[in-house]
Amino acid sequence: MLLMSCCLMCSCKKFLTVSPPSTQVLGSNVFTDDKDANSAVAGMYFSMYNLNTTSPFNGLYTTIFPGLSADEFSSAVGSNQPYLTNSIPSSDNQLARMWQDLYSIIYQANSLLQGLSSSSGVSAPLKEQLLGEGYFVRAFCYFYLVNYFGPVPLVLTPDAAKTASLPRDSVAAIYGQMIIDLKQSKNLLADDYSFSMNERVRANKWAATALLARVYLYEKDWIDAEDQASLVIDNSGMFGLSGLDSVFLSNNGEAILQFELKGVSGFTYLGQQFIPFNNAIIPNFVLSDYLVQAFEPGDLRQARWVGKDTLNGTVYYYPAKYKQTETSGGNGEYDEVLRLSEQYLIRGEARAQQGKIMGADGAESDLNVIRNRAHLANSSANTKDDMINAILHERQVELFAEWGNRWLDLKRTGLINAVLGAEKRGWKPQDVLFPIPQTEISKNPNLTQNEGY
Amino acid sequence: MQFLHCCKRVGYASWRLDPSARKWWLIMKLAVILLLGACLQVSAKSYAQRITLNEKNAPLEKVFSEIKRQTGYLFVYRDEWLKKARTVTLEISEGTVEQVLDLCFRDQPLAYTLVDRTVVVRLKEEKIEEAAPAPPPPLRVTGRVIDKSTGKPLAGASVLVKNSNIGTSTDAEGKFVITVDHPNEIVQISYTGYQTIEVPIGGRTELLAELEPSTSELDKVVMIAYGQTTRRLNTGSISEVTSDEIAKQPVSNVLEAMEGRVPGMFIQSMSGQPGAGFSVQLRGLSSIGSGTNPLFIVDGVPYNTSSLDQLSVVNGGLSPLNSINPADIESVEVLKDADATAIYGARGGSGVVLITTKKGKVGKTKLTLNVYRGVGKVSHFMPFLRTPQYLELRRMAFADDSSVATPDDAPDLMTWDTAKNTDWQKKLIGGASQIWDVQATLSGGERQTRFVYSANYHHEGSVFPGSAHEDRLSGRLNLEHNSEDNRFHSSFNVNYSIDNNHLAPDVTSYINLPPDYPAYDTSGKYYWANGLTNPIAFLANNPDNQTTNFISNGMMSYQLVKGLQLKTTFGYTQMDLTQQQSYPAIDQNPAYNPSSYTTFADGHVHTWVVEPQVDYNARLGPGKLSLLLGSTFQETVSKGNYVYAYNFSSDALLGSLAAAGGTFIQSNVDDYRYNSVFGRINYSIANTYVVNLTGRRDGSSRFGPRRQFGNFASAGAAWIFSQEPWAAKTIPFLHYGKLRASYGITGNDQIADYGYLSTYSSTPGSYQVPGLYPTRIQNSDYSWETNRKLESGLELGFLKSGAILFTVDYFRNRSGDQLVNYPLAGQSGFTFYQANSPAIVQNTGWELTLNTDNIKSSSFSWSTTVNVSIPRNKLVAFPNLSGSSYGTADLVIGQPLNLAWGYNFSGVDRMTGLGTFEDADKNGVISYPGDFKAFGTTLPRFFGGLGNSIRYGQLQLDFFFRFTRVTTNNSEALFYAVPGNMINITTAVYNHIWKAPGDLAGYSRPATGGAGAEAYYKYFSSYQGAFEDGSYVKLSNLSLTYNLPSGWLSKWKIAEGKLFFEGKNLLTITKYSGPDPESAGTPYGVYLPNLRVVTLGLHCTF
Repeated sequence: MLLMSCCLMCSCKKFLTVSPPSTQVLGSNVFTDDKDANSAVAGMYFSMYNLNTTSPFNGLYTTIFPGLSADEFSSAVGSNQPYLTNSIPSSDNQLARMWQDLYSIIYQANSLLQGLSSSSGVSAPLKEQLLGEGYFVRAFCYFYLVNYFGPVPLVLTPDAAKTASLPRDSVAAIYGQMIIDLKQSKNLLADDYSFSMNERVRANKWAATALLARVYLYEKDWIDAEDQASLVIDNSGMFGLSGLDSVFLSNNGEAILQFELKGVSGFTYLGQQFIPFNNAIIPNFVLSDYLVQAFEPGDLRQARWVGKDTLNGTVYYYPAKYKQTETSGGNGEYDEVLRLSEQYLIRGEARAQQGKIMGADGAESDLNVIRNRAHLANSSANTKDDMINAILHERQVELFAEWGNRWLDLKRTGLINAVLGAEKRGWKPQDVLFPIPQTEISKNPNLTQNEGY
Repeated sequence: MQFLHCCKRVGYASWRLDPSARKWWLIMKLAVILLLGACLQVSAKSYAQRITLNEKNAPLEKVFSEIKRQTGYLFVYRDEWLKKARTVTLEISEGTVEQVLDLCFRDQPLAYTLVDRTVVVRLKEEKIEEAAPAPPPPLRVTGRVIDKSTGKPLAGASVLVKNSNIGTSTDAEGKFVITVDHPNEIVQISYTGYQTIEVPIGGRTELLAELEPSTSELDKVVMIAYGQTTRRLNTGSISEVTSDEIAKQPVSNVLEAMEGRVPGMFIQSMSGQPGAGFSVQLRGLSSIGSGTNPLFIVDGVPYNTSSLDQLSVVNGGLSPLNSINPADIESVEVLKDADATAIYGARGGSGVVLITTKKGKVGKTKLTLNVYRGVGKVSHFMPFLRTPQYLELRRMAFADDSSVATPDDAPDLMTWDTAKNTDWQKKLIGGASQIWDVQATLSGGERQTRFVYSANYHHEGSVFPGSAHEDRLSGRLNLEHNSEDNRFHSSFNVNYSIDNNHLAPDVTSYINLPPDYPAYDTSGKYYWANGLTNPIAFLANNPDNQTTNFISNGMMSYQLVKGLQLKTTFGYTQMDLTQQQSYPAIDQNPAYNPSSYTTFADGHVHTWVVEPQVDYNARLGPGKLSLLLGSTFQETVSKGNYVYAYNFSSDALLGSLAAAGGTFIQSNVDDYRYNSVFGRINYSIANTYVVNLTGRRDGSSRFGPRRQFGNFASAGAAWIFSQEPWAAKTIPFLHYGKLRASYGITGNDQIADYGYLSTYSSTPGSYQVPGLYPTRIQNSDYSWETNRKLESGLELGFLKSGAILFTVDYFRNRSGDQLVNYPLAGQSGFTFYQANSPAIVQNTGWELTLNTDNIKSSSFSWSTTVNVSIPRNKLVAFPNLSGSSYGTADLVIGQPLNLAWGYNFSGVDRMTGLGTFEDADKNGVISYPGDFKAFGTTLPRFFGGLGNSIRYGQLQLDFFFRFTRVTTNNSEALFYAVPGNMINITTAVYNHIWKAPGDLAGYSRPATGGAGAEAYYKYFSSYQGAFEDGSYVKLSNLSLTYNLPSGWLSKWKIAEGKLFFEGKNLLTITKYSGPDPESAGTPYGVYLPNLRVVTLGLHCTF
């Protein structure tokens, strides 16, 4: 027995070597073959969108928070109240989570980019597609970070030792990187949806182009914005406006990129949040009078995309673009990330800014395509300023409660202080930026706080 | 100093006397003789020293001085005796001392005794023992040592010739052979756990020594790591809870039976629900970021005590210790200091709890039946408002807020039946939990084979409405066998239990529903109000939890040669938990857009361990040496799945995973391996000096490849100073006195497995295809926490056989290399990674225990036990604390770990009726963290227990109080109830609410929202609002037993029978405002308080 134990003791080291857990894959092994690499990308999308509150793109951070901060809603559930009153404390937990969650997606993208670049095990066409998706997702995350927080650290590698103490980079630098990433992504990505089983749920060349158009618009690069939007709009074989009732259904013709819901639930997070269970209940998020009154009489979007509860004589409006809340409804809806309608409005605005107002190649035609679908007559705007205003107004009612468009539009056009200053009590110019989460500043002394916090 | 020096040598005297020591020895003896004026009976030996004398009518005194001059012999006498003596005339040449003395004392009224070279003179009236004759030839004595009651041979008993260095020990059959110089020598026989006896040889050559188990507390067996010792010889800090103490309590979890009885161990039940967990802290909180559970070892095999509960059905999770039937436990030893725990190396940092189960005894086969029936109820209810007062408060709130109640936001005022008054507290937690327990044990055996078989059924109901309950069925078999020649021993133990827990979800947090809230609408369906949970609907979702637990362990040992024993212990335990909880949409608040779903979970953990050991016992020099060398191989594999299933084809099929339209799955598998070599050297001399050294080299798979191994060691020593010869004289009232001290290093590896690897895990759902996502950032450069423990203790026993036993311990544990989740800026992709921080947490404390036998007679006896622990906790160092995530409102250097943080409430403004707070940073606003301050700790300041045991004739009464001085969460803050909101409050709060300008109030004005509510939320975050004094004294246990008269019993052939009443939690004295200060809850929930349980039972042995 003694002899036996002596022998066993010699093999101590070996005994202690446990194989990696069977439910986990070593980081170094993920990018060595097609299947695992593909799974890592699926995992990245899953992390971006699921019903868990820590998924940054399910709508809480990207639709509800900016919607509350702008003038889209007039009520909020408990912990979201500070967003409605534009008084977010830097200690707000959800804000810190948003920051961390967005950067954790960036980490996934960076790991993917680094892992694939140094991998020889992944086959060439797949590698290009996956790399393209990594660049796309990284740009998509930075788009929200830079618009919410202003200058943020530009993290381009998964190496924590190098990135944990990076200071904030300029807004221009981040936009520059987004454009580089999206251009690269455009070159690498497939130009159809065959790689994603013909579902419009992973970024392809057109998703990158559409996001690039948006980035150029925000950068006031009107020419490039128009060009990129045109590329998408002109691909009529793949994209065309859908009827109002189909815009948010899975794989509808207007969709450029959607989040798939099958592996998560049958319904969107926003549907679950916005639609009351029955009509005897006040909705969690009530649309503001400013938004409700922005609809022109006869706008079919109000009838189709806005829900209404009447309780004891009071009417409560709520967003009803997504209608499914019950699992029994099946997987008819997907969460729509990028859609053609926005591309028309981007091109219209870019053209108007260049003075191209009227005619088939003018802003007018882009705007009217959208108006007509909502059963509204052609716009009467015929000057540059009127046209720009008309398009902004159209964006308010077309893209309401969708990806924070209203909040970001008010910010990028500089109208925010005038609009929200008139509408919201206690509005301060510094409210255009969210505070940098206090916990992040305490962990990275190189971070500075935004003005006014 | 000189004296002390001499004493120490005298200590060795019985082993080997050097001449100078001998001299000191004599002087001391003589001093005592003179002091007492009595005579010592000693035999003298003759010396061949010659004397020449020529005296005529000389006084004795003169002759004595002449003899002294010639021989150096000393004379001891009293002057008055010599005055009575006659003169002597002697003429001797070359005579021996004896010859001379005999002549001197002839016809004298005096006699003498020779003690070595001293002549002790005494009066002749007393009988004199004849001087010893010349030494007889050596005698060879054989003997056998057995247990008096069982006749079982005692192997390894120590056999010593009294006052000599001749000794041996018994063989496997209890036999010994010893050679003595004199047929009248006395043999001392001692054996751990037995009373030491002295057998006069009296010329015999064959002896039979029958030893009785020790009745003295000091000589009872105490389990230690990989062995046993006695309380007397133990060098470490060990506390024990015995089966007797456990048997007197109607508990289903052994931890509950230990509450308040172990100094230094703070146990709190986390909820009154059956099967709920306990928080256990042994000697304070030593770790910032990793677990601080003691290591539990059941019959030598590590036992998993972290809950497998993934659905959190009870606060703290279902306790795995619930699977061990307390009635099967013989003793629980809690090992505290380095001496006792360092041999467990990297796992001993938070202490070790050894659970030893019952073993069979030689004798007649015994059948024991024990049945009890009990009822448990909530013992204290909070005084909530009745409907009229509640509605008045609501109206006041609307008025104060200048708002108008609408049916939407005030259905309690406008829609519901305001004539109704439901006492939700009574309705939800006012029921009675029915308890049944049936226990049968069969035990017996003969010399070679002994067994115990036991079975237990335990049923516990719930105080909630409905039929929630827990059933446990367990069975156990223990077999022991030794070979005919007693060299081979084996022991085998199997335990299997099935625990079906159909617990109701805890609805205690809904006891403050508005008193007019209707649970059902007019059509009999569940009624839902905006923002309120319907607890009756909630209760419909009974979870179903089934735990099965298999514990097996065994031991085999073989005595290779005398004193050398080879031993292997091995064990395998497997615990499986399956859980299911369905949530039909109909039972959920429609405001939250519910859909039907079911959560399924299963957890499995198995551990195997093999520990080969070599034991060597021998005499070495003047003492006994005992050596232990061993090795551990252990593996623990845990697996679990969590399934969230939705989209069921029918709500009738919510229990069927196959009917689910979609699932969300998480799985985990963890493999933990552990390998080490350990050893112990114990050396003791004359039951007086004991030195104990232990060491362990540990390897754990929880650490990166280069950091897996570490060394741990300890040194302990004990000095039983009452054994010293001087002690009996200088401190005769002290029966037993021991000083002990130890120092050593232990570790803590209670962190997740694989923490050092960078890994990807599968996503709980899929995105077209199943996904992988990064779960950890790599850091292979961390290792265990090290806990440096320093301890000293003093143990005193007064009066005969320790009728008063007092122990005081002081310890200082410093835990460094803290395993923390080292904070990372979120921009890196992760918010933390596992790392060692050089932070140091210090726990110091005093532990006092006093056991007294106040009265001990055949018809009446009364004994008392008291223990008090005074722990102190301090964060000594934490480099870069402010830059870490622990810095803002968590830790402060120099302060305890669990700090009570909050704003400083500065009273209610008499005009506005709103609470005000101190603006500590003077920035004009009350904000976090600038105005947030640490006010103290929520760790206990002191705690302990007081027990009394009284027996009068056939009646036996035991009662035990527990007490704790602690600051705990305020019950108001736990409910987060803003007075004026649609939530009930207590009359105590109501009476101190601000109601009109000028009021001097304790609480802000009632409010429905706005500034009034904000003032309350801030108040609940203030120290005064969030915390309150949670100190308590509890009559935690009372047991009254009536032993049935033996006359009756013999008629029914019952050997022993008793009727008993047992109660727990019978009385609580506290200022705490909530239902129970002990299970006060956390800001995340209010939990069912500990129940008051009374039981009635019958115990019979056939």
